[in-house]
Amino acid sequence: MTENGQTDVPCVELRQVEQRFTTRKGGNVHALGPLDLTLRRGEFLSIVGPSGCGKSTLLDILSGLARPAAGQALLNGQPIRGVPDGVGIVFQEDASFGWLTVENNIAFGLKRRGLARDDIAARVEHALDFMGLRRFRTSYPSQLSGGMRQRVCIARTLVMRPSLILLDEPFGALDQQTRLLMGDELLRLWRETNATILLITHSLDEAVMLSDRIGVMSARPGRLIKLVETGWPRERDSTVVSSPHYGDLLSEIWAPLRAESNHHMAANNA
Amino acid sequence: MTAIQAHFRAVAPPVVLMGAVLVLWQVACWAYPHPEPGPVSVAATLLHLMGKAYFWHNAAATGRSFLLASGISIAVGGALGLLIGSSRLLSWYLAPLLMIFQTVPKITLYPIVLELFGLGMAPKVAFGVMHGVIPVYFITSRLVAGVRKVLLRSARVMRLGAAERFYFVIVPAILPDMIATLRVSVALCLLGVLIGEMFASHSGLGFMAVNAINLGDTPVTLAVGFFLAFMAVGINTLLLYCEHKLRH
Repeated sequence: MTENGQTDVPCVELRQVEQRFTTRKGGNVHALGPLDLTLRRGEFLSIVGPSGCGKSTLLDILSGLARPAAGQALLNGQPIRGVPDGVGIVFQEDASFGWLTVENNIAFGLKRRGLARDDIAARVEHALDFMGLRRFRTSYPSQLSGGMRQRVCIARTLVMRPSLILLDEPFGALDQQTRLLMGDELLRLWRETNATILLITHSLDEAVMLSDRIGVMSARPGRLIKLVETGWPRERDSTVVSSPHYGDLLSEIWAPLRAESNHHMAANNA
Repeated sequence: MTAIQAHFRAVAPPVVLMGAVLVLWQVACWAYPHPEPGPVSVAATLLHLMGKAYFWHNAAATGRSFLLASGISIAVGGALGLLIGSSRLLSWYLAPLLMIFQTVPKITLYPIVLELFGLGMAPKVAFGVMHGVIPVYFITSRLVAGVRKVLLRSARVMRLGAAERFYFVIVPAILPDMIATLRVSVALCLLGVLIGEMFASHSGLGFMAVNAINLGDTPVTLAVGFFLAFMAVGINTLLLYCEHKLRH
């Protein structure tokens, strides 16, 4: 294990993964790849890229919600077929169940999995404390702010104790201040759970602040064009934004992303 | 705001509106006297009728048919809506047929209903179901198709199977709007049952109203109408309360 809390053992391996879609009019869209990527166990990796480059498609493949058209996706050395055990996902949209209280939302997956009542209660209590939701345990999602609802979704994912957490722009709908604070919480969560995290984001700030490595994707069909090591220590928080290294990293990922975004816009205008 | 206050706010408007209409009607009767009875006179007739056994016999006949027609419409329409709304294949084959059936004026089918079921309770129930079942199916299927995809994706990631997603996600997600659907469909069921009673029946409030019309007994006709209106508002208010309770 490195001083950064990571191991060299691969958690996720993507080998020449491609995804294609057939449109309603019968056209063929090459959405992703070919893409090669290895995610080390315990690592926090962010993916940034222009709109429509296939970031969410990549997440669908990793979570087993979609199968790649070509190539191979492996989780802990096993091919991903269907939704694998040990994977949790937090979406950008509010995915809390409006008919359940906060605590029942958090317990939902555990109950469906048939865990013992004591075990469910213990995990839910821990998640309520961990995510600062104890005061709202009997509230319904409609009574909470967007940030609090996203905490509920994160808590619901956490209690399942996934070894791989996939985050699809989870803070996209939140204001900047809340995003920074939620980023701190996410780092705390990552350290305490030792999970591997893959974050899909539009926000370069977020990617630089949170990640061990940042992958920059090309415009569609999305390919990995750059991988940047941030070199942050494992014990970090949102104060890294005031570090001079932060600006250097931002420039380093913005340069290729700017070129790709211009290319994407030009292609759309053509 | 307390829960009771919130529920009161939800159910109060239709009750207040109905009261205001009655007051205006009575004021108009006093201001412009004419032979037709006003609400006070109709209420007096209704109170008189409510002391008679035959009135309750007819009300019970309508109530039984209405409850049965509503139950069948909700069960069959709801099941069709859940199935067709969650299956593109079924939607392609069945949805157009059901919508064509909905466009046919039901009254034109009543002779066939009588031919099939004869006289009595069965044709009234069938006619009520014919009015109520398609709206329940249609709105339920729309609600199922409109369940936010992110909820279903979350459930899939939690490794819920299709049946579990259906029972634990789709059904609770659409339930509050389903209650709103019921408010529309039970009113249509009542309409169907009453029309059935008016055309071919020996009992029920529809039969009683038609008899009163034929005899030129306006106070009884209006009293039955009053009673049915109160029943409809009562059911609507109850369902509105349930809907409000289910929305958090």
